[in-house]
Amino acid sequence: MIVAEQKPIKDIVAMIPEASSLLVVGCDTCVTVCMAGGIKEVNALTSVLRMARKDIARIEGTSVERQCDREFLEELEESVQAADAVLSMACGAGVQMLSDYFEGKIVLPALNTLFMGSNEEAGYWMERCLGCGDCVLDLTGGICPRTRCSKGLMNGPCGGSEGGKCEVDPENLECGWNLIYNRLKALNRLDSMMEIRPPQNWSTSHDGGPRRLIREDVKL
Amino acid sequence: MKLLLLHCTESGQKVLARLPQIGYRLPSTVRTMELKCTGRINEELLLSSLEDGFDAVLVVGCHRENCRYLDGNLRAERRVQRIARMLADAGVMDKKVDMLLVGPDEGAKLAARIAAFLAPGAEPAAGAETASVPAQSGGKK
Amino acid sequence: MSNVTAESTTAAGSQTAVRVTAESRLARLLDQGHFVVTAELGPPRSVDPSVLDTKIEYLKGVADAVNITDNQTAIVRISSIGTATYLMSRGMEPIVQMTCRDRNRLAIQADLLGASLNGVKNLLCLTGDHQSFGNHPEAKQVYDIDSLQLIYMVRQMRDNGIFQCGEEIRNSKKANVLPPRFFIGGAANPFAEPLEWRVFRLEKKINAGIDFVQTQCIYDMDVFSRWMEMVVKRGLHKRVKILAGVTPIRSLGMLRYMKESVAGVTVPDSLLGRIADAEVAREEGLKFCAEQIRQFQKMEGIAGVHIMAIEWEKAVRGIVEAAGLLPRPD
Repeated sequence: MIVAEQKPIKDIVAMIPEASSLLVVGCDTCVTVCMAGGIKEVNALTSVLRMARKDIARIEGTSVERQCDREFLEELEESVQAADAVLSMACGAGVQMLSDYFEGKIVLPALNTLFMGSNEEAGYWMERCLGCGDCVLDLTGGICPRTRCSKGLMNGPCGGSEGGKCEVDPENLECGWNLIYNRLKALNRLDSMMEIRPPQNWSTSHDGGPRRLIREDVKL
Repeated sequence: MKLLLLHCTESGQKVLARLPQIGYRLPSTVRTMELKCTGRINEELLLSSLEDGFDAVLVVGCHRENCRYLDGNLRAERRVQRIARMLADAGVMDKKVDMLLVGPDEGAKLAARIAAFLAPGAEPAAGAETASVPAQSGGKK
Repeated sequence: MSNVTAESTTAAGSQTAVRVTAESRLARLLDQGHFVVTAELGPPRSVDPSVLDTKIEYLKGVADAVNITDNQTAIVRISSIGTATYLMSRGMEPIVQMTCRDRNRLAIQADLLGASLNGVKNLLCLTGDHQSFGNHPEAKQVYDIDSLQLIYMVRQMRDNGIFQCGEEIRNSKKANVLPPRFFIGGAANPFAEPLEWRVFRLEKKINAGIDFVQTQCIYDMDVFSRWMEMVVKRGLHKRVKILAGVTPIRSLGMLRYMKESVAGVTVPDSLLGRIADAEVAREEGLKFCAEQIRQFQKMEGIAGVHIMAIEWEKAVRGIVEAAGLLPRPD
């Protein structure tokens, strides 16, 4: 899932321009799960903004299934038309979609979108996937060397791996390649680590330009 | 200054009952609302109370280890802290939330805290449990 | 390049003799069987040749070749290649260090062509410290390729005359293939974890194509000896020239710092005790360093020593002398 967190509230308060009406829109999917932009967070933020920005006559909040799909934005048409500005509590994709759909409206991001990751335990999310477009998890026992290794090495570990920890944060950060090594050892596939992995093709990543996926087989 | 007191059935209710025994009467600007446990409060309740006209919300619950429902008071504390921080960071100076942990016999401590809320600037003295009962304060601020 | 299989890489590395680049003095001395001495030099953080002149004075006639660090600990300094060119004009043989943190494959290959054009003959291929350690922690990291891929690429350039993309290194269809030719080195850390993997990682680097290897600085001679035993058992010392790394101890504080804060450095308590008990820590440190080097000369599989006396280049001459290694051969 996409993991995001709310911007510092004073930045949000400062970001909203003069307006007589503000609509706060949440998203019921990823950002609800990571407790950043679901209806609960919308209600709390809307309430605080009403107290912090008394200059804005009307501040209302709502939420939709997903902001990254046009079909769910249709239902917002009336409320958005009535607002001077919209504060989106979705991830970056949602904010942009909302902004495109309601061209001409000021659309602001309430969140900082962080990464694609997993919910490890209550209150703890971790980056798992970089969206590099060239998945190698079959070679590394299911542990991603690009995200779990601070340097994204394909032939790790480097010399900074100690006690199973990464030199970048030896107290908290596991060395990704140490994890891969142990996993491959347990799977009896250590021979995979002796192969010299060639340089990655970064053109499938954002380095190749903004990416698009077109599926002719499912187009209407 | 209108104050809402959200309290639990255990220490909260009992300490409120103490107040008349130590000669303290709740001012009319203070409303109370009882919940089984302070763990029942959520952010929405705190915020909507403030929006509905209360200037401050004081949550009154049991001491750390004494919650009948084990950790309801701890959860309440975290939620209250979160809202307090949000309000402060957003620059909202005229609304306050706070939580007080008490035992059933700490009437003076509660009275001092309420007085402090109603007359901001007059902080409760240290060791408020044994402080003398403050005068009733009914005026709005 | 992406379809190169593992077989071809092992084929390149399975020869038992080390193919050296004739023009490198370091390579020649190793080939002749001398116990070599390399040292390390950190370039200044400004355009200050006097700093280099001083260090050159300390190391001339003492080290056979000198490593020049590459934005070490991610702090910006004069580039390794820039410094190397200066050193060569003053008669010293440099070992250019190249990390993967700051440059992509285009920049690296271009820099290698430039370095070779200017006479650089030795190259040490490294991953590079993470930028969060340095003075520009907000910089974008590169790591387009890692140290293994770098070694392989440099080897392919030298021996097969091709760029990483597979094209021949020639200016036009009719021109000669004129690739950069380096004596290729890598780093090895007998103390990083997982420990049992470290010998295999050296082997992997040998398969990728290194000619020589310099180890991380050694304080724990027991752990190092055990590592060397495994290395010799696998015959790796016959496929690569191993230079054991040392860093002379300046003070107890410094040793403690290395033990606690530097990843990949192991310090035995006995050594801490020895330095703590010494009258003058520095002297004891230098003594220990010379002892280590004398031991290395007796150990099987060690072809030389790499002395990393960063910001203490002055001390190197004394150490080399005490280890019985002066004068250096021509």
